[in-house]
Amino acid sequence: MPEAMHLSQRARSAVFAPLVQESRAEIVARRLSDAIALGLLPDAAQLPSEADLAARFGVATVTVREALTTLRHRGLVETRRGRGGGSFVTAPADPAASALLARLEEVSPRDLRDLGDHYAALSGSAARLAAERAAPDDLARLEEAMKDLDNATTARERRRAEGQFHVEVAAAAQSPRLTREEIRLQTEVGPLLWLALDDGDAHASACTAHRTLTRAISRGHADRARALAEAHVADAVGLALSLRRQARGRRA
Amino acid sequence: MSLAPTAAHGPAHAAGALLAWAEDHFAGLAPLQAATRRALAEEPTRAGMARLVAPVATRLLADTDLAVVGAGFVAAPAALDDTAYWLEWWTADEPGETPQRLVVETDPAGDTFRDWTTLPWFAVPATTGRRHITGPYVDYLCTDEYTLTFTTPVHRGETLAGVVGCDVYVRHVEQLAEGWLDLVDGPAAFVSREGRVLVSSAPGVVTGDLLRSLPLARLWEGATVPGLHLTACGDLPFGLVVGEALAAGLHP
Repeated sequence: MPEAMHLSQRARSAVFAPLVQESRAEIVARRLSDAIALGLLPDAAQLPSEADLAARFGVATVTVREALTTLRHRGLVETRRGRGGGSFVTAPADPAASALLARLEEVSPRDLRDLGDHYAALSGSAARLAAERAAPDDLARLEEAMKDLDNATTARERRRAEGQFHVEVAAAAQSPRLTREEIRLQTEVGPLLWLALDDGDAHASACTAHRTLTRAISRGHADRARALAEAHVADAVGLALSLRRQARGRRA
Repeated sequence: MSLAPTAAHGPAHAAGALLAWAEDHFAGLAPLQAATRRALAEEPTRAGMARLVAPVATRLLADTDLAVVGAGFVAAPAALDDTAYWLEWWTADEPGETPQRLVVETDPAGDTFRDWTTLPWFAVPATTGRRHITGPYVDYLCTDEYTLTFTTPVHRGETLAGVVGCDVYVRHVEQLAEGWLDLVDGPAAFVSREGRVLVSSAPGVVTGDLLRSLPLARLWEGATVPGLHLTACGDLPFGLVVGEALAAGLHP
């Protein structure tokens, strides 16, 4: 019989903490509104049917309906009945700014830093493994993603390119787990962390960060790649925190 | 009558086993090619693809011997009459499970659109006109797993119309190939042309590793290299590398 691990009381309590703070309807609403804010579900896009959404999310149809009601109240979705009916995204060309800034203000600095720590750990490990395992094909895809960020002009394009670059690093690491985790975290953290890319200077330094990271990966410098990836995330957290300070300052 | 494999025959048997396994999968694509050609001739539209190609794709997924988890046709841009980009692709979470249609953004203006024509599983058959095996790689567009993808081009007259293909999880091949490597004396690995390990019996060398410092070019040319021998697997982009110097290929 294995020895019991010595867990602190707090760690032990965390095991049995309530599973979700939010209701499932709120989680569904958050997932969809983040996707709309990120531009993954563009203006006028039709959402899958309520039954489809329920099946994909693994929740009851009534939960989906509640989530859609929330989104309608926030003005993110409209539902039309009859032929050609369904739920459609109503989002202006770049809804991100105001909606995301509002969300950024709601997050505590501590939580933002914690999200950043988690994301940095993931990105750092992926970058280190990519340096050890990337073959020419993988590097070509990193270069493509880099170019996409260089050429991205709107905030939404920049966030998409930034996200795609991170996915390519995880894929270059030959790790399906890290890739899936990267995609999952991006959905959660991306909108907040990359809001600052709207700014020209932030965009330029992100491009540079990608370039130096890709170089380290292509040269097989594993430790340097990890350090660069972690620093890139830390910089993004710093920018998000200062954006948050500004937003709150303006409101006061 | 079976002969115990000698040191000379072992690698040939093992290489032959991978080739035979791959040939079975390419043979499995033949009905898909035929159905696609028919659809292109009779009804080159999304509806035509659904009517004529989907049933053949789902039949391929039901063949549990082949252990395929994705199958179908990926059209070249403008190959169909009613859409620029299209995939008639079906997936199953595990071999033999209920097939589902793959839904990805096919509108180039869409935010999540990813131009797959630059990815190796499309680009290599498109440019060489020959069949190809992509991977092992992280297929973040479709399976989200470490995958091998078999693809072969389909033409409409002289023009490329797209590729048909199927996906296999690498973990499935690993299990089979470990058995084939049992036939070989000494440290051995199936390795892609770039040096990516598909499966290995050498201590410290694992699927997904990149043997970056193996003299692959010379081995493929048939040059004599001390401590290493390469047996080609027919025309597949894989070879069986045997020898004490194998593990050293991991280090710069």
